[in-house]
Amino acid sequence: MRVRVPFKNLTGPVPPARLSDGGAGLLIVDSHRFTLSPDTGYGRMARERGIFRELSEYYEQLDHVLPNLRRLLAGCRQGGLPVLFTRLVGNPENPRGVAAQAKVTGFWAPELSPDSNFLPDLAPQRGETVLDKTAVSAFAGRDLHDRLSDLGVRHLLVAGVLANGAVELTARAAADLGYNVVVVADACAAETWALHSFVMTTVVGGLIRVRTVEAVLEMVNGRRS
Amino acid sequence: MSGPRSGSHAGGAIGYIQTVTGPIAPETLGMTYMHEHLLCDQRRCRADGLRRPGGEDTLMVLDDLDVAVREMREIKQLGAEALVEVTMQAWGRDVARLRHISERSGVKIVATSGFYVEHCHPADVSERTVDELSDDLVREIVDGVETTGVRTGLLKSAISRPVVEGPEEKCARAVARAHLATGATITTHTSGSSRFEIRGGNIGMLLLDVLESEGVDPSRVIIGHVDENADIRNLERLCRRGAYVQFDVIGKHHWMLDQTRADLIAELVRKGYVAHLLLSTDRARKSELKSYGGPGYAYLVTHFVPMLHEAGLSEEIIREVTVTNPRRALTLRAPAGG
Repeated sequence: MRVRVPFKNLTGPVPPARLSDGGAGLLIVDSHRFTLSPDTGYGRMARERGIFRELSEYYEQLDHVLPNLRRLLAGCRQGGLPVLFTRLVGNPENPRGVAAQAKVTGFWAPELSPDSNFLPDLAPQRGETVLDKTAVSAFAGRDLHDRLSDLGVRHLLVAGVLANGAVELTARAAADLGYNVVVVADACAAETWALHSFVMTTVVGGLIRVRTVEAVLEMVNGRRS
Repeated sequence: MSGPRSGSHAGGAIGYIQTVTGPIAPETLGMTYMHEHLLCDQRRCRADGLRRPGGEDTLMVLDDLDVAVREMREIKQLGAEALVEVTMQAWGRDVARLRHISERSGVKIVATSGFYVEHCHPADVSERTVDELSDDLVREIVDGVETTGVRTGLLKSAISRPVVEGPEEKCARAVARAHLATGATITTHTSGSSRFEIRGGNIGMLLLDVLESEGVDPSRVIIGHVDENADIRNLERLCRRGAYVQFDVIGKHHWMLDQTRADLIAELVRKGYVAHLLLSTDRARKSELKSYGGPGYAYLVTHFVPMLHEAGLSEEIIREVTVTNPRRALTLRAPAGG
């Protein structure tokens, strides 16, 4: 899909983000069983409606994205970057435990349910941060911003799902808060291939750039800016 | 053209299907497209959003008689025999030209009376009573449209919002009363405006409530556009109430993949609802016609029917969906208790 983005001509260039100079962190957005396993979460909802095939492009992207996410995660850990995870997880017992919008969409998993679990090879390690949320943006509360500040993160790598939802909104919110943002294109999946392309084309600008896993790992290693 | 009548009913040719060239025996109908446009002009409607100046190629405009004839001849060659034209009077219905297309192509055409969504309503809807609106519809079915002598054979009600209210509800009630007076089946446009405003994406259930409150038997109602956003549980509910569920935007993948449509249809057949299924493509833009490089009406036969076969449906089942169900749906009948 070719999308015109004429306002990009009006702005200054996206400044370089020197990830190897320190201050970089990786945020993996909403990547757990609910969103990633076709037998639960989105996949189960689509099956119940008799329309599982509608999600075929999403799961097709995940076939490519999951190995890339693993590689990104491993490379960032090796580079000593702090890693943070968000999950679409809420507490239905708590009146404020599920965002109003999530109650409408149903896009969340109950705490401690199987759908709330991470995939074993994309799970946080000891000391890594996990933030449960049911809002779309990872910055809907102050928890993430506070945690990133505590960790001294200034450059935020964003990957996960949905590219045309939480990833985009989180990247834009991060930029608004002053972070240098890198969206890791091939470690994100959107509802469709076309929406993936659309987001990666339109999200660029200001403090947001879009890179591949390979390029990001080279940035982490100081081989490119 | 005078059609057969029966009993004391005020309707047209009860027991017949009323085409633009006159009443026909139901068994002669053949394979039928149930929701199409041959001539329409959305430019006559008020804008319902931001309309790009000069962007009329995106609007629903079909205005070439020869193109319509050519595309109808093609579907006739592919085995289709009939087509329901659902353009309403306020945005370009022209029954005399439809008769012309039918005569030249050999495809039987059923024209429709009723109302499209609010921004395409006739200007005087707000000033007139439900019964006055209904009387006009009845006149078109019984006596013909204006001075053309062409009678319509189907009624249409359209809802564009996630609620049935205001002028659209008024028109729905007028359509219901015209149905009770004529025995013409009601077809519906049920987009509910935009994605996901109604759970399952279809307002058919709520519209059915309104029609039923006027005394309409749900088995005489076609819930259209169910394949814009579908939830099979809602489709089953509509079927259990007796309504037809019409997959009528076939080939429009921005709404739903055709493979998903085939999956849903196969599942509804498996659950015993074959008698409720109807098909069409809702062509309304030049870009959708073969003559302008699009898939055309022919797509239903050339592409979608093979998908139904692949989904496991037999020739006999497909015939039931494309021939038997349209025949039953389009036959003018005395309404229950009428």
